[in-house]
Amino acid sequence: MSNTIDHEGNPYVAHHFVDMDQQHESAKLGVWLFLFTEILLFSGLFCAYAVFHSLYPEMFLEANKLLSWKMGAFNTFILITSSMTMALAIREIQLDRKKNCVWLLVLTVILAGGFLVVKYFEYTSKISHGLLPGKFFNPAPEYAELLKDTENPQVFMSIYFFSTGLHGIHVVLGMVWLGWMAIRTANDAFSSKYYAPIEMGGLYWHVVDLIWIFLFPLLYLIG
Amino acid sequence: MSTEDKHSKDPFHPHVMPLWVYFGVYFALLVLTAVTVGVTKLPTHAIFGEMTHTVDVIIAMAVATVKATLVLLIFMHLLFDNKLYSLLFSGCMFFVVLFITFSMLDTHSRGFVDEIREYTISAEGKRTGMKDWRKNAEAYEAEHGGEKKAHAEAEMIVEGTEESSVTGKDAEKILADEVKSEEGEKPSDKTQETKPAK
Repeated sequence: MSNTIDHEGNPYVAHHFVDMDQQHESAKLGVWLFLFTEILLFSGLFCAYAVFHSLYPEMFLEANKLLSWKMGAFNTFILITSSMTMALAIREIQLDRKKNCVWLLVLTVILAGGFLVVKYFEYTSKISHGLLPGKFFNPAPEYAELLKDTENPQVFMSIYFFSTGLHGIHVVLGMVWLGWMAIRTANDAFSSKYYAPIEMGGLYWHVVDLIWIFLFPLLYLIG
Repeated sequence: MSTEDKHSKDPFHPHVMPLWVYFGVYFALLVLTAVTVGVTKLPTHAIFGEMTHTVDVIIAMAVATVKATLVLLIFMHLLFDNKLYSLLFSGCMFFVVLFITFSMLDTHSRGFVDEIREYTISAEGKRTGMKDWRKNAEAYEAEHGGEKKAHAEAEMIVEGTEESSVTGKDAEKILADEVKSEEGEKPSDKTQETKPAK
């Protein structure tokens, strides 16, 4: 270890920090600030939803039936479960049970993969029925019949694909982050003395869950 | 709680919550999800009648907010961490609300001052019917000029108590001249409220 001054017998404290508490809190503040920018990024899509929903309330009510709420509910279940396994993974590393931590991180990544598999089936079904955003909107006859009295249903599909798409990209990035954390934990990089990267990955993963908590009712349920 | 003694010389101790807290929050999140699905998908029309959709939206959003709060406070540890994070998070939420509210104030007040002029967009994405916005504005003027003049005349009558020499007809002429001179200088002001001539 390069740092010779060790304030509390913790070799992970970098030389420019007073102690691990300060180092940990600094990392956390940085990640929270990053997460705020993530929330503001998604708020643009929520804003689009709010504006178009208020312009075409009847259209949203009809177009919302194009989505399978059962698949959405199943994905909500998957994501909430992965959020809990993530929180438990942090608890296990806090208690120095590294093996449990690795398995819980792996489980979180698997659940995230499951979320994307469900999403894949949803997307392929939408694409095969021509329920695409904007000018690509070319619905199959049964859907055209359902939507015949609505104005601009393609706007709903645009909002659906862009918000769930951006969310899906975040799920993929979360899988990369948490998978990397699982590998590093397995390689003995972390312990109860130093686990900031896992906790920060957890914060990011919970924000992905938070976004979905709002996307699910807005897109699949109330429309 | 445990992180309050930041500046003590104690070594780094993570704040570990008991297991039941995690499972409790998980169970609460699942139940709340079921509540949202139930309220929106079950035939609640018999109970709420005409208000069904409004009630659905309010309940779904309230439940989502409770779920988000649970995740933030417990899973994301805001309840036990330095209150600075909660404060900053509130600031973030403030800007989200500001952003959406002001965007909607805009989209809901369009046409309040200047009427919205219609044009159609062709398949090639070009505006048809109008060569450029000036033609557009001229067409608008031709259609609504009368109304504007009537409006100006009404104001003139009120002002007429002071300047009795200007009659309605004269005022219309003066106004028309003024509008023309304004058009020459800056055509973009065409749709603005024309000030009554003095």
